[in-house]
Amino acid sequence: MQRDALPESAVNDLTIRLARLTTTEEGGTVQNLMVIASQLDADRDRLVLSDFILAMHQAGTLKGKTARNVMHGIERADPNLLAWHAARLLLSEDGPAVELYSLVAQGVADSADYDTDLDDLELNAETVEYLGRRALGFLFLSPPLALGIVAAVMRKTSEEARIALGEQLFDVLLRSYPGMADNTERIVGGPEDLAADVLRGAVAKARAYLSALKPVRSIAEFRPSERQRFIQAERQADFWRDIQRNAHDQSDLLQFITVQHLLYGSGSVTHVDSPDGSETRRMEVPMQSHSHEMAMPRLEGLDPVGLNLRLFMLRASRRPE
Amino acid sequence: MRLLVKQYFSSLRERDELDAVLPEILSGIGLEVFSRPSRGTQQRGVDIAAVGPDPTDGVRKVFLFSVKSGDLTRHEWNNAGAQSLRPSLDEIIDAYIPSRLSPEYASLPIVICPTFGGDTREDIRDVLKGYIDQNTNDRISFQEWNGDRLTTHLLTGLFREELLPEQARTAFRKAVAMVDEPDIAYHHFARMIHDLMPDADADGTAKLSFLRQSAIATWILFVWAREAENLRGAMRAAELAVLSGWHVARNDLEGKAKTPTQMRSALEQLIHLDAAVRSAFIEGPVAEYAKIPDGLATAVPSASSVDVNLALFDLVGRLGLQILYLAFQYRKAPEDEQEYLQERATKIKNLLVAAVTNNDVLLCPVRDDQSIDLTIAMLALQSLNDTASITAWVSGLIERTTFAFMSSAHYPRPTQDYRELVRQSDKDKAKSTNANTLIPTLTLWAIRSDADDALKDLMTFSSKHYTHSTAQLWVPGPDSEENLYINSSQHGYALTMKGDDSDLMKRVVSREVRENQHFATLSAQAFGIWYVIVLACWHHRLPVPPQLWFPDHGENDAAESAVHSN
Repeated sequence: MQRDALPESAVNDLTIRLARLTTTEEGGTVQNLMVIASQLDADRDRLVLSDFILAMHQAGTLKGKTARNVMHGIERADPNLLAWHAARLLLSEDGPAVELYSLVAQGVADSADYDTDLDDLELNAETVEYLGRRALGFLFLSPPLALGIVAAVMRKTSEEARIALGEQLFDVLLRSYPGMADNTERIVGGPEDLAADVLRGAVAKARAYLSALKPVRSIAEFRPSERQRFIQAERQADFWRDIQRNAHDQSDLLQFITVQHLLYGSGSVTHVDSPDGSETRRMEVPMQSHSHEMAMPRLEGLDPVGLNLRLFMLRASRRPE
Repeated sequence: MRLLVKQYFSSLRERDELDAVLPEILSGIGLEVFSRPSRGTQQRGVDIAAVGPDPTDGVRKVFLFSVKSGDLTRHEWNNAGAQSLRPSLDEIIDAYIPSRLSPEYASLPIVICPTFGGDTREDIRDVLKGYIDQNTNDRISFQEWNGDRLTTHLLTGLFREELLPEQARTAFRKAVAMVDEPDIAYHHFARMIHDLMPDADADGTAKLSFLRQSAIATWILFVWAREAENLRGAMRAAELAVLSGWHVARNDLEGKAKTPTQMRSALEQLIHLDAAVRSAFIEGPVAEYAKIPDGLATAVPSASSVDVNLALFDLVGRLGLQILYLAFQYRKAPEDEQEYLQERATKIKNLLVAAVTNNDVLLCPVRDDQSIDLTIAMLALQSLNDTASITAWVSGLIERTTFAFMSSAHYPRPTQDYRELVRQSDKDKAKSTNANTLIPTLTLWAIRSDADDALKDLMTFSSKHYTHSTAQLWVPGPDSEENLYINSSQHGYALTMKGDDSDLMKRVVSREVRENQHFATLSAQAFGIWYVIVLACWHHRLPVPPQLWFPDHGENDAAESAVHSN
């Protein structure tokens, strides 16, 4: 498809329509759509890209590696754009929202601070509050992104709504992710920042909550029995095995290399034939480790039903007419 | 065994603890205890007095014990405090023997026994010897009852080979060794109890011996558990000791004869001991952490929400039990002790309310049998007239539990299988919730506490989503008396009802409360010791019979529940 043969707006409309109609069976067309997506400017074409993502998502063609690539592309161009896209998707009620959330979460960097500009989303007082609640509800597992959007919403809403949102920020996000208090403190702006007081208040509450818990030590009588610990360890092992298997299945790299399993040693030595076969070359490969960590929400362990109920209430918010 | 027992004596922290166990040891070596420690009365230096043959020479003597804890140090010997030893010994010689000792013992030689769990420190040994030499005469002599002597008397008395066979000893040693793994410790302790338990037709002496052995074994386990800073095994062991003790003694408690009197006293000691172990747990970090939001949940050393849930519901059950124990004591205590008991009960009640308020995990059980913990805790709140806390709690429970089922995550199921609990999945939701005691329990507590809105929500939920589940409670049957205390087999009746009609449920339960004849014939109820029934239900995971917690709302509206009428 040649983009310069038609006016840009027409090309965009056609592309989006095509994205809506293309199914997963039409692999070639999906590939072409991805090429178009990669040519869009993440900032200048943000509206088109957003519609495009939504259309592909609704058609079921934007998932797995494809979704990850698109979202990482946006994140690389400008992390705050990802938050903008997330906000726009949250405002849409077209698709199953949880799936939309997981789509966005593909690009989120754990440690980033997001400073989201919501100006061109044309929000009124009601929709901005709606957006704040949904951000907390759906982006709960990507806390920096949720915080970025909630802070942006606070700067655009009424004092009353700001305070309510501040309570929910503490109750849902900061209680679950103690580290997010630092992120929250970092995104507080200068004296002109309307959200500053509420954000600082939420941080103070979170710090007070955590400092009250600081002297708490394990109570031995509460420790699960040996059998229970064994069952949990077994489940954990299954969980990590599944993750490893999925990571292998989805890895581009592992599809092109030969896998060897080492039983002993902290590295391997291999003798490789030289091109002319006259001698062998000794290759020593030390073992390397790779790790990835993510914060598990505390409330998931302390009060899972309460957490689910809070998230459900936030997610169930209806978009104002 | 000797080392294990000696270490136990030296670790007894409070004077009261040695006081409590010494009479059992004395009885075990054939002495008859005629004076026990009591609160608030002047003892004139004597904590315990006994009469009988001296184990060293067989001569019948009077033994007067002045009890201290730990080692005998210079400070313990003579300081300004009321608890030092020398002033107590002086008082025995100057006041007790001349004016308090019963005339029937006037002709017997007297042995004054300074008693302490540890050893005499070197720096005081010659001072003690000097005192003894100075005060020994034809009638009065002294015996130092230190940890070594106490150990010897226990091992040659209650714990001698004929009474504590090798198999039981081994089980007991394993229980103590594994005190840090409570389930394993309990398993071995239960084995020991099983090995020692006399038959129903055994004589009174054998039964009494069993009660005393159980008490001492529980004490030893308790002290070792306290050293290991994990009281869970000891708590469960103490409960089992009370229940098996009741089962053994229940048919021999009537009358004023010596054996029934001693049995009643031994059982009372077991019940106190059970409460003391629980109290040591409750008054530890639990009391501190309950006041902190999420404090108790954070203190569970596991990342799994199931572990947090199980630990905290277990805790509220224990807190409830402790309040009910104090309520039970209150009703039979003299007036001057009632205020103290009321204060303690209120303190634990506040702890229970704080635990529930600060830990939302307590708003949604994961196991259906946690209705037992809920009933005990709510009954405890009711006994202190805190209906408002019940209303708030039952409303929260209804909201969370129904939501958990609707969202197919962490909803309560009628299983105790841990593997099943952690594997919860949506696939088998209807099958895995095919029976419940939770709906009737919540319904009846909502009725009792006037939680009308929550009750309405619960009935709506139940009629729309829970009709597949058989709602039920448990009531005693003709076979319950033989099985309730030792859980030897299934017994009683499942009282089934329609789970979506609260009026009908109320009528059915009220009628059963009125008409079930078997509850009143349970020996613990007949003796007015309803607390033992609650303890049995808690320990053996049996729903607490509604006779104990749901007043008759039927035709006879004025009838009170058994707890309140006893």
